[in-house]
Amino acid sequence: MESGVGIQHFMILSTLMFFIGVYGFLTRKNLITILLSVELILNSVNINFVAFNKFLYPENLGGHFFAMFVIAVAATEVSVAIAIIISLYRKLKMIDVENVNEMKY
Amino acid sequence: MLTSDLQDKLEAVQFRKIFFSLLAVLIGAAVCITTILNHSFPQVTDKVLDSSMRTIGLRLLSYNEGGFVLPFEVISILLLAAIVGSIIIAKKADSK
Repeated sequence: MESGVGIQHFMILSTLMFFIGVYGFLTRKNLITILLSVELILNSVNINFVAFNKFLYPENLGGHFFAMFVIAVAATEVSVAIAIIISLYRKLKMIDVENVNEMKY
Repeated sequence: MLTSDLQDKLEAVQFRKIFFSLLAVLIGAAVCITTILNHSFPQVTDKVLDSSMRTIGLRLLSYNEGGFVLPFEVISILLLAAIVGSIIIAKKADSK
C-alpha cells in the first residue's frame, strides 16, 4: 500500500476537480472553454472510478473498464461538439454562448 | 474568434455571475468534502489489484463472465458513428 494516500484523498481531489469544472462551465462564455470544463468534470469522475476500484474492490477491474469507456464516450462527445462549434463559427463568426440560440427551437 | 489571440484580453465576466457561481460551487464542494471526511471507507487490503496490461487486455476482450467484449464493440460502433456524424456536421455546406 502507498504510505498515507488513502481513498479520501482521491475523493477530495476529484471533488475539487469536479467543482472547478462546474465553475468554469457556469462562468465562461466561450464554447470551447465550456467544453474543456465538461472534460474536467468527466475526468474527475474517472478518478473516482479508479480509486474505488483500487481501494474497495481490488479483486476485479470494473472501475478501470468503466473509466476506459467513459474516456471513449467523452472522445465521441468532444468530436461531435467540436464539429457543431466549427459549423457555428462558419455561420456566425463567433462562438460565444449568448449568440448561439440558433439550435434552441 | 474560434480561438483567442495572445493580445486579446481575457473575457470579462459579470460580477453577479461570478458571485452566484462561486456560491454554488463552494457550497457544493463544502458539502461533498464534509461528507467524504465524515465517512470511513473500509479499505480492502488483503487482496492485491492486478492491473497489468495483460490482464486488462484479456478481460477487455473476453466473453466469459466478467468480460467486457460487448461494451467494447458498442463503443467501437459509437466512435465510428460519432466520427461520421461530426464529419457530416462540420463539412462545408455548399460543397455539392
